[in-house]
Formats: sequence, structure tokens, C-alpha cells
Amino acid sequence: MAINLEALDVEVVELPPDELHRLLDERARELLGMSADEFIAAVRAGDELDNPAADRLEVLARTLIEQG
Amino acid sequence: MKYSPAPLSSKADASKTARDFGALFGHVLLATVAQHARVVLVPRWREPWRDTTWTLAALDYGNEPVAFELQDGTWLYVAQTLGIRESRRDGGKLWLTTLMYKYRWQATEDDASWIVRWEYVREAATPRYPVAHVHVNAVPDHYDETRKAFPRVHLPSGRIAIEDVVSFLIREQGVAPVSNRWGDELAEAREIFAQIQGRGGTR
Repeated sequence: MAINLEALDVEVVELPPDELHRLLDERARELLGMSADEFIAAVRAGDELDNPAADRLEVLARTLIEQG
Repeated sequence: MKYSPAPLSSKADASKTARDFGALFGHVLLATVAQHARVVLVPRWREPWRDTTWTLAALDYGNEPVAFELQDGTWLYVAQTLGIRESRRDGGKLWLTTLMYKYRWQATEDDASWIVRWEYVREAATPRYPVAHVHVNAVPDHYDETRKAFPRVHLPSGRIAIEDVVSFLIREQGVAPVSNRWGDELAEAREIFAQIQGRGGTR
């Protein structure tokens, strides 16, 4: 094998949960016209928002959704 | 490459393994099709640590998920949510796993220019469609337009790895690879990803 995992790295951004929520809220309001909480609820419910920007922001919402 | 992944037994394990996964994910893109991509891992730490999730995506410098340009001028959006789950194969040991992925090939930087989307949601609250599916931004000539709009249809698929998407882009869409080793890179990455996720060996 030629890939040396020890030599690879990834940038890690430690965002406090409220900062992550603020980021999502700002972008969701601008791109989707809804708050972060409304967007998270839609993602949790499996709603189809039919908006490619929603598709792009969904990863942030899913990371904020409590698991289990 | 020496890599001996083990089930996760601590927060430190989880952190290290998520970083390895993220580093490899970024490497796969930058060693094959991406001109530049800021692949970032954003942890959402929780207690107990096994409830932690991570965003793994290409982000802009405002930390918003964005598409990045490929060698041929088309664009790719990639994102995963990572989490920790018990394996049914080995008596409930904990492994890092993909809870969601979205890969979107698009013509330009504009979200609306998407061509194909590959998506997976492992634990949908109300499964209304196949957990792994594909969307195609087109309408077949003979598709009955009174049906659900074709680009919104969830075409069932198996789980698609980022290596599959990259291979598709190079082999079938003519995206120029960054290096001639792209095939070996993808094969090796596929094996390592499987090990990290406790699936062992190649798929």
C-alpha cells in the first residue's frame, strides 16, 4: 500500500454547538427563509424541501440533531 | 501502510479514528479529481462520547458546506455525517460509521446546476424512500409528467462510496485525474475505509 495514513491530516474546526447552530440559522434564513430550528425539524421529519441549498446545508442540521 | 483499526473504546479513540477517516476522505479527493478542496471535520462532542457526531465536508472559510471545482471545470459537493454505532457483526462493539452522505455532481458552482445526487440516510425517522438512493436532474422522454417530478424521485441504490463517485467521474465523464495513480489510490482507500468502519477487507 502506498497511502500512509499517518502522514495525512484533516483540518478540524471545533465549533461550539451554539456557534454551529448560529451558522446554520444564518444560512437557513438567507437561503431557505426558515430558522435553524425549523430546518432541523424538517430534516428530522424527512421532509423534501426541493431546494438544492437545503440539500447542501443538511449535513450541518444532521450533526446538530440529537442521536438515539 | 500499517493500519490496525480496533473497535472504539474511548473518546480519544473516537477522535483519532474520525480524524483518520476525514484525512483519508480528503486525500481521496485531492489525489484524484479535485483542484482544491478545504475538507474539514467538525465534531459535535456529546456525553456520553459515543453519541458524538461529526460533519465531514468541503467548507468555505465561513464554514458553510460548498461544492468545489474539479479538474474539468464541473463541481462536486461532498458531505458526510459520521457517528458511532454498535456492530451487529461482532457482538455490539463500537465503530465509526457514516450516518449520512450526500455527493452532488453539478455543472457549475450554482446549487441549481446539479446533475446527479447520491444520498444515504442511515436512520430516517420516517422512511419515505430508500435509505440509499440517487437523484437525476433530467426527465426521460416517455416519463408521465403527471407523476412525481423525475428529479425528485428517489431511485433506489446500494450504498455508494466516494471512491465510486470519483471513479464514475474519471471513467465515464472524462474528468482528468490529478495523477496516474488514481486507480490505486481508490482501491487502497476503499480497503482502509472498510477497516475503519469495522467491515474488514474490501467490499
